[in-house]
Amino acid sequence: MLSENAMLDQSAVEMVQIVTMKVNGQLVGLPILSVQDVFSVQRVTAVPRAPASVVGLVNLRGRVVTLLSLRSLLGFPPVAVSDGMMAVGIESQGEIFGLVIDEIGEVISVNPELKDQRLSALDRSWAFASAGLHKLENGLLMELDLKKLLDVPMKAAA
Amino acid sequence: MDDILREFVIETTEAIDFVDSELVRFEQEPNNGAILAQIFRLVHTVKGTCGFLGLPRLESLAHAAETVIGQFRDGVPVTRDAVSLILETIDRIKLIVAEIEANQTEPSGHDEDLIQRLEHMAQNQITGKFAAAEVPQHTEGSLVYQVLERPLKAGEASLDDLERAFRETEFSEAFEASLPVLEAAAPVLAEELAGAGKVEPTLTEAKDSQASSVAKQTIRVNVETLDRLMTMVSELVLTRNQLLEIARRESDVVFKLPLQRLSNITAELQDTVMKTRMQPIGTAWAKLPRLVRDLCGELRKEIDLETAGADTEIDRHVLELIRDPLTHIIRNAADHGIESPEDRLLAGKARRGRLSVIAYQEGGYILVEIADDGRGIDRNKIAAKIVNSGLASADEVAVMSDSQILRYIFRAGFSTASRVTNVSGRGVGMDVVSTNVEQIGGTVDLRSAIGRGTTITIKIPVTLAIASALIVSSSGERFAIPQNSVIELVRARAGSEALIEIVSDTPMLRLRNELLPVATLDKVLDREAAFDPARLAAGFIVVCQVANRRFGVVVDSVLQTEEIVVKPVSVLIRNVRAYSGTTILGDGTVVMILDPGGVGIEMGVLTQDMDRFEHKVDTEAKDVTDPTVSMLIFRAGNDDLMALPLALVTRLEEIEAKSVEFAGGAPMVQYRGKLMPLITIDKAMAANDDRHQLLVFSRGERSAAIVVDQIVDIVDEQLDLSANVEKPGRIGSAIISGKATDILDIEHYLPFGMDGSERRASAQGGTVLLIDPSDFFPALAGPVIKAAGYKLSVSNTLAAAAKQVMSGQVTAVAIDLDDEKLGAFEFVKRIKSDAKFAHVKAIGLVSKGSPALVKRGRDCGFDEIIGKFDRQGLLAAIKEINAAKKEAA
Repeated sequence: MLSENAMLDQSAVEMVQIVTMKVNGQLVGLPILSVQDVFSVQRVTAVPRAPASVVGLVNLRGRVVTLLSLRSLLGFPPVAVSDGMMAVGIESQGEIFGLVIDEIGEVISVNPELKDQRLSALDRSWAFASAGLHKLENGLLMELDLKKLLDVPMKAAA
Repeated sequence: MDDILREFVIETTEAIDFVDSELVRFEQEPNNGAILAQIFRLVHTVKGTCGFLGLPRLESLAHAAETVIGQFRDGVPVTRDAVSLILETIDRIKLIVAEIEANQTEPSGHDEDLIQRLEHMAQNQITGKFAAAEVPQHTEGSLVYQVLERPLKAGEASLDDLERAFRETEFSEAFEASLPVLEAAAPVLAEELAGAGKVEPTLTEAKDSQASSVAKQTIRVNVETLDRLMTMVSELVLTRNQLLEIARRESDVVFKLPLQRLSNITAELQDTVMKTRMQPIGTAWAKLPRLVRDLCGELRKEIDLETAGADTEIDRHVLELIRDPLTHIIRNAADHGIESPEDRLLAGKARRGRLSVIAYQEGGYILVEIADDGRGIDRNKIAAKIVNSGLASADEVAVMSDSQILRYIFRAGFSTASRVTNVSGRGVGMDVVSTNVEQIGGTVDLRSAIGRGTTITIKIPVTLAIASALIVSSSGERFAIPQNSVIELVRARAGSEALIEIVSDTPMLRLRNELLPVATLDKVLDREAAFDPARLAAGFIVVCQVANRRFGVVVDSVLQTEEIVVKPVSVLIRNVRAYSGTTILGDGTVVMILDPGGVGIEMGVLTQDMDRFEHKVDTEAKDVTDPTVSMLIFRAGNDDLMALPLALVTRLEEIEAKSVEFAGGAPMVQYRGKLMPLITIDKAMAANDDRHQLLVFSRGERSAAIVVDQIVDIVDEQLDLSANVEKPGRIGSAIISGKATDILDIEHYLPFGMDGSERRASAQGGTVLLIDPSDFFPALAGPVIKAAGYKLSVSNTLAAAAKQVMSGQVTAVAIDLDDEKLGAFEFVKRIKSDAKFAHVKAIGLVSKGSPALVKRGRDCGFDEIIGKFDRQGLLAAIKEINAAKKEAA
């Protein structure tokens, strides 16, 4: 590990910071630049007849944010949304969405060049939303591709 | 794009749009010097700025056009050709400007063709003018007194322009524009100076100083800035609402006063900012004069365009959305509506067609009326087109109202034009109108009279951003309902004017004398599987109206009304029709805004495309609501649906096919110890069925049965009957449960009348006058009365009925009592109180009798009150007329 880091320093690769989060026990992450906000969900307004992945709306400092269940987007078993759950604010097509997660993790730096693009290691139904895998000391981190992640509900709504 | 260039593009576009419409006006009023001066100045400024920015193509074009326009000012008669040529030039300039906007440089190419024609025109005009002899020997300026002792040469700037150029040099931005004017003016100046002393450039106060001070009072603001301002004010309104909410809960009053002030200021600020977004609606039709002129040329028609109410102010966003619809409607009107001059003369109309566009405000809505005095829309032509394109069957079309048929015009791909022209007829267009208008919560109305013209009325909300809404709650979740679609709030209670009734498993709201569809909001939003009568009865009913359809939405409670800031729905929820937006309430929670139109569609009250465009005239004419009638729907003989009032049928029976016997070639069946004739409709009994369904009709001792193939349904509906007497055995047809259904004339089939006993008994009956506002009941009861041997006379109004009674011909009147408005009670009271007519028998007809009603009827002098479909009762009542007559004799 040490030698690898030393090598990285030499090559002066620009490290990428990833916000990590846990959903259904799996560690996933988003590049810090695509995360606008991390907030605790309060007073969720349910939207009857909305697609399954939409769990409700919240008022985030005067803006209406549509909450999406990351569990539902990745095909994991759903959990009822309740006050106090954490969500990650992201932007797509000029609109702010909140991805409801199980647990927020720390921000870590990874070397983008060491990202593993081979998805064979990830032979799972949720691999469709992967932007690559990062090998960490304590396991694998799947970096999410927001566009792919939101593609399914967006298409369904179109 | 660099700033100067962008500024130039914006200004030039505006200037050109202006010249466009002004030139058309100028052509009509060639002596209006003011218009001419404006046009000239604009073209001139364009030319000057182009030179400054190094846009040679534009410059030379503008220059050539200016020469021709300049000549008009010098007294050359304005010709249609010249105006056309200048308009063509302006179009070319427009093209080049668009190119500059896209690529930041002038496109390559040249405009020699146009320039040559312009120069040629200028040359011809000059010769024409000189030939006209009266050549001014000197040129005068009108702004200040200055004289040039020779006529102006083509291409030279006039003295007034020079004067203006001088004045405008006070402002630095105008200086750039004026430079080329000065350049052009140089030779004239030189001459003026040479003839020194003759020119007295007195710098008196400018006559047009007023105009320039108006100009200084307005500034150009980026639209984005305005939009942001609006968003911020919206947020401020929300925050204010939040504070008010907190203040409501707190008993501490320290901050109540300042809060009140904040609230007032916020309201004022909101008002003012809204005003900045307002634009006169006239900007949406600034292009119309030019459009109409071009259309006249293309279509060889003569059309005058009139506009009124151009000052009516409307939200910028709304304005953008109605621009296209307006253009489409005008194109359609010019192409299909207004006839050629020859046809108009033949039709006895003025040679020139008239198109008018009028805008005015009414409540929170702007109404725009586009009317033409053309040939009108032929409903039959549209009906034929509907059938041809398979949108509806001939039978369905036959029973549609005129407005229903006309509304098909708003369908995508629907064109009645027999030929496709450049202008319209491709079937796109009118659907754009409805789509755009509907998108902003407006409606489109269409009225047309053959030979007299068509009027289209667009109704649009003044603004979209802030709306007044009713906050309701259902199963713990709150929703906002825009107040402009809410008609009233009622609760269903025994003895009140509102009642929930279950009609074949569907809840209906009986509100006064209307029967409205009703559903719980939870049902609409799929939060409740089936309707729950208890909840329907316990909740509040929000009665909504969209187009002219009313329906009830049941919620648990109604909380308050609030001014809400409408925010768009997330793209992920946009396809749920029941919502139109979201908003944040004063307490900070997000709620969904319901779209009453969408809710109506979910409830099946409205259909997605057509029915939101109900005809206004329709609602006015139809405010007399026919009571509902229970109808039995069945099929017999063929696939067509047929219906009968259920009250006419004595029983429904089913028999085995083998029990059918034949007596004298006619099918019979043993029924209750007697032989009962079986009657088929239109064809022989199907032989392969092993069971037959029968509708049994009994008259006293006698019975007969009609064999039907299938009993489809029993429904309670208001009937809108279209008489269709061409078919034997049918009274007419009506739309029942959305399907065209033939209403059977049962007397035609039943053998009772032929028996003759009743007919003979009342052979010299007299005249029975049937008074009923609907067409349906007389059509149904008429045959019974006739079969009983009476002359029948039908009247829809009491006024007409009164005349007949006065004539002394009437032996009996049968009056509908369901419709309070008809005033039957007073009518009968009057007849009975007049000794001359006291012998006229009065029969009251009701759908639903009650002891109170019977008593009231007796008090007013009714001889008999019977059920509307009680044939026996009606016959008995009529027989008594005879009995009474015999006694009298």
